[in-house]
Amino acid sequence: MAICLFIPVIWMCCCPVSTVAKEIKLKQLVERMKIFDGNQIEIKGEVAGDIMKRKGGIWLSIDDGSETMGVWCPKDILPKISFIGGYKSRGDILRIRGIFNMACPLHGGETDIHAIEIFRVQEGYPLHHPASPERIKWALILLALTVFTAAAYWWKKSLIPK
Amino acid sequence: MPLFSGATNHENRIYFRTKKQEGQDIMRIQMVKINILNSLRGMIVECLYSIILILLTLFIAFFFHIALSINV
Amino acid sequence: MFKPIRADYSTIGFYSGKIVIGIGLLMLIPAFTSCLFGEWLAVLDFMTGFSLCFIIGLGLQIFTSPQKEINWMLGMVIASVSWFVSTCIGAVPSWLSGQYGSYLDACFDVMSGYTTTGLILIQNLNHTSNGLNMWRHLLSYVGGQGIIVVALTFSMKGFANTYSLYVGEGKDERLLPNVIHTARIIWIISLAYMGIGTFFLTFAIRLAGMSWTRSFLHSLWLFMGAWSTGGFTPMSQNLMYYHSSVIEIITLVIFVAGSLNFALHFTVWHINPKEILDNLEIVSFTCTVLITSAFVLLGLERSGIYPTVLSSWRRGFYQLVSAHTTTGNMTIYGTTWIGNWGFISYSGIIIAMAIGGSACSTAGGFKNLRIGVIFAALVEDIRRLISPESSVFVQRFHHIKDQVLTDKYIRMIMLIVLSYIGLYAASTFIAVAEGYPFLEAVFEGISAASNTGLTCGLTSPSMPSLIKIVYIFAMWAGRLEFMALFALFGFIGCIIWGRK
Repeated sequence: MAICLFIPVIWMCCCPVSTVAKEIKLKQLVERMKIFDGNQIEIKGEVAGDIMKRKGGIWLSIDDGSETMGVWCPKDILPKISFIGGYKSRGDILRIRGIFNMACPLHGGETDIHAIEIFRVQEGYPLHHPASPERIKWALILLALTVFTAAAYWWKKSLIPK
Repeated sequence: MPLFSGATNHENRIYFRTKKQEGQDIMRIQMVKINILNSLRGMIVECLYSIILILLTLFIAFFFHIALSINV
Repeated sequence: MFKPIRADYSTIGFYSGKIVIGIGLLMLIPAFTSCLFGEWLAVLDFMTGFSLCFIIGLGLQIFTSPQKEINWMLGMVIASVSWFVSTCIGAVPSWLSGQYGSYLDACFDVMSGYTTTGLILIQNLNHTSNGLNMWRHLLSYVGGQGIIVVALTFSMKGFANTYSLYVGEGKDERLLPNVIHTARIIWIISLAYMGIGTFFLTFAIRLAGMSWTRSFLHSLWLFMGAWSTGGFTPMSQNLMYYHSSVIEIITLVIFVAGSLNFALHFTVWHINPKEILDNLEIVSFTCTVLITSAFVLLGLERSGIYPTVLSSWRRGFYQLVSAHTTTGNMTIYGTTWIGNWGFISYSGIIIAMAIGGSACSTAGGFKNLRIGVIFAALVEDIRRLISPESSVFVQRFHHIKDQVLTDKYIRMIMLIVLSYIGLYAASTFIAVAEGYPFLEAVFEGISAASNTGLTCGLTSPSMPSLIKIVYIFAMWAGRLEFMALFALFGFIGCIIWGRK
């Protein structure tokens, strides 16, 4: 019995510090802003849109599938980013540890995360959008029908005397 | 038409004045020429209006800030 | 009540067909954008939509003809039918993109675009093609000026002297005696603003740290969303994506200008710039903005969630004007409204959304002109009460020209305002009946029916279909200002119960 009680305690002591800050979904963060305000949190998500370089830092946009949030980070902690999420690519997945601000005093009251540590967990990849033969077939059939309707329309119009 | 039996002279006079003005307005609108300078002037006037609105609310924000901090 | 005859259906079909062809032609713009960026699957989607529009539009042209003069009833029915058909067909390329849970979701977004609402059900917005983004924003831009105004601008054959169609779309002011010239003036004003607005926004976005190409595209889309008081943006974070106060100020000026009456634009530009000082609508708008922003700013100051007075003003005022002009651009997360802002600020936003922008503009809601006129009527009644019985009153107000306030006019205005209140109540009730909390239901219901598009998080793809359908209807009715829809119901009633 005593061993059963001790095992979790020993496990917790052996764990590296970084895993103690629990990874959180952005949706949860947005729904419980007041609870997390000013606390250190950890998120994991895809870099989406643009990397915006500003004076004193960089703005990233992190999309974890549930919500998207702006992350402000100093230039020196940003790892190499190969892909930014968009129509043609899936962005790199980053794990970010930082301070969550419900209303950031530095950025005009914006809800953001100030990054302390950023790791690249997974590299992104290009996205391809192949058209299925079925789609192409239907598009061509409709185009042919359009030409046919247009011809019928002009024919009907030519029948009406001006 | 307001020229019904119960209408007063005053009401009729105002009705005709409005009608006359409507006629003048239509004449004036028909003579309007689209002019780039006039359009730019108009745009600046409208943007100035927005900016005045922005400043007025900024004033309200500071007013509340000061008023509430005095109460505290 | 008479049963409609074949000539009625034929006339409705003929004009609706023309509008559908117009929508098809519009699809060429996003198709071209997709071609430029090599998004070939999106090109295929738009070409499929284009073909469908032409098959239906030209088909209607073959089998129907304008057999009747357009009277008020027919004009209104054509306007509402055209909007409905345009939505169903406009949703095809969006749906084919695969970013919507269902066809209904795509219809919801397209109706939200046309009616310049801005509520969205699109999924994975951050990975959207440039073509689809162009389509979404273009819908909003075109819907803002009016689908029928587009047809009138290009003076599509048979559209001359169709003033009732123009009125059916919720615009009731003739800028020039000819309705086609009026439509062209509306486009000249919009395009002039588009040139200047896009120019400034491109530099602002470039300064925010984006590439020139993306800056240009985003500025164009942000302009279309803001001017049409639509509130669509290309990224899921809405305006928060840019983290820039300059962009916020520019978009704010654009949507305030977009929410002004086109007749006022025309008068200020070409007749008398001082009109902006005397106009009843502007007086009413200024007063309501100041009162509601006092609500919002007081609430924010008391809740103390923002660290400085400037940050509280930046968030609060932007959101307030975005609500009042029925734009729906957001610089805060939806959950903040009810969770953090406090009840006073929340009420300020709700009142602002309900009042809305100017009549004959791209905005929705009760409209400032109506609020101003109701207030003037109230003042007149009070004056009547405290004056001797024999005194004669003629109340006048200034909107473009001096106008006499008649009882008939007040009655018409009160009826429309009452219809809006009914619509707000109905769309709130449906969400409450589906089990959503009251405050959220009120917020979202008013936002949809007044074509605002601010969301507190209720609108999502997982929302029940019934709410989606009710909101689609609310957006449609709110944008067309009821009359066209009442005419459509009347027409359907005539089909069922009318005498031969």
